[in-house]
Amino acid sequence: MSFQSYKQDLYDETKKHLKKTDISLAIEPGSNNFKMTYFLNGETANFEELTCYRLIRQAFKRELKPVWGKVAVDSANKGKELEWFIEGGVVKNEELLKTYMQMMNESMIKTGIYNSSGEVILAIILPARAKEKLKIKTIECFKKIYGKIIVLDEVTSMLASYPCYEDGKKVLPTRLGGDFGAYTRDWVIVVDGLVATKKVKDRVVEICDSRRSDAGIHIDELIQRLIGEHYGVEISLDMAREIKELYWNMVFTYRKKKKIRLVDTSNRPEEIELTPAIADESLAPTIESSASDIPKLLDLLDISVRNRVIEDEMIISGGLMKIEGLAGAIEVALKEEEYDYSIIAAINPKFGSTDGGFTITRQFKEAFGK
Amino acid sequence: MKVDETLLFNLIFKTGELMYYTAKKLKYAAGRKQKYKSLQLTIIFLCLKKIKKDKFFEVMASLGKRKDNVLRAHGKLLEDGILDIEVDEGVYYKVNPKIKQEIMKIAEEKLYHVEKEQIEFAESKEIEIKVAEKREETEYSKEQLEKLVGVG
Repeated sequence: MSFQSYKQDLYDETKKHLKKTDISLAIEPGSNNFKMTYFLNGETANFEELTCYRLIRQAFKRELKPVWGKVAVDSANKGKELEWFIEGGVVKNEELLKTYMQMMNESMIKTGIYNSSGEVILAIILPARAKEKLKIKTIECFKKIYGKIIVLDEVTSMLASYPCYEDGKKVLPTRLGGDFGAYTRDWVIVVDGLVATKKVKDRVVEICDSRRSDAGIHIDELIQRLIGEHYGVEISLDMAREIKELYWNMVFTYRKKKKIRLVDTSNRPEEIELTPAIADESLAPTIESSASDIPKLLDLLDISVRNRVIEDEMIISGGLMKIEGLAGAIEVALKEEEYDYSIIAAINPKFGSTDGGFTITRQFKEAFGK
Repeated sequence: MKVDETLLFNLIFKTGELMYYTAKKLKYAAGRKQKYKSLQLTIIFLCLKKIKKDKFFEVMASLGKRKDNVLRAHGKLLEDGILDIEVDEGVYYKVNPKIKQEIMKIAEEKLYHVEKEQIEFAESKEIEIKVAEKREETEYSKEQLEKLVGVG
């Protein structure tokens, strides 16, 4: 069965049982974090959870937080087979995802987000460029718990929440959007609310680009290596990620030096100074390759469509965009390639796609719910 | 800036930063020398969220807190007059209105402080931070929605 017809069946089924009173929920299964947007006590709220640690906690009946030093290496080895049950937005280990969703469902009922999974209309946000078979497999895992499901594309749902105008009228988005995830970095061109396609030798292909070498985890590895080279301190990958999340905005965007104390992999305390130079070095490959990929992607479009796309700014979401200066840095690098194109970061970048997906689900429910 | 209980609840689980500030301030409010422990603060925030009594321990358990510890911490909060004694079975634990006001104030200050600090810093360094303009809700028609969901 093709994904399109599977999606059509899912859509028909959902529409048949859709009620106005259903509770909207948008979930994006990320490799690192499970992100969702929901409505609680009259307020839209976001929630994220480190995917692997929850299962490790359950399996070893004790709490394991991201830890530093030798303990990190040991616990990572213990939980190796439990980690990464989702990769690049699609399922890798079905059994674990099902177990995880069961636990998630229970805790959501406990927190009072909804009373039973039957009253939920769920938006699953998956990447456009993933393999169709894997996408179906992923949705099947959610289907065991939730009956009413709509499937959205990561970047389209993010772009849909930013207004687009044509002759003063609000229209579906025609833009270039990006998503910097933990495992993949995607660019997707959306034309009139659908992922742009192109005919190549009688075959229709989607115009999107995905790279693993620019994803968050590779930047973590680079930080790990750079700190080793500059200071002779060996740190865990967990720690490199934490350094990136806590200090990279300050060091890269605001050019401030920061002295930190850390524990190396053999549990020795060390003091190092993070400098803008290290931050620049760790982000340079990402910025460079982004700047060279965007023009290649735009060149695939017809000239009239291309002009429509570059009329508006490009919007990038994803956890990495918490580094506020990154969008500006890519824009500068693009200018060097003689492309004058405005790039901005999404509001609430980590939850860009779930927030958008949530809005679409809510409107969809109001329009079609009985 | 509007600060309500849901936002508080989210903040505490997201950052834990607010917890620290509240602890620092409540230390004086409660007349205790030692800093407030996270468990007691979690109880306060759950009470603010109006979790029903029968669900209270379930939520605590899901957060990994043991029932005996919760009861002990709860007792201390009642002693200090931060929580009011529950009136009836199934009724919410109530937070002392004065303390509630105090927490709201801290939350407001904290949120405001963070925003202001960031803006001031950016202005002083003349750094251009490009973030999308405030998003307005885009209302889509039925046909547009069907297209967005992918089967129009």
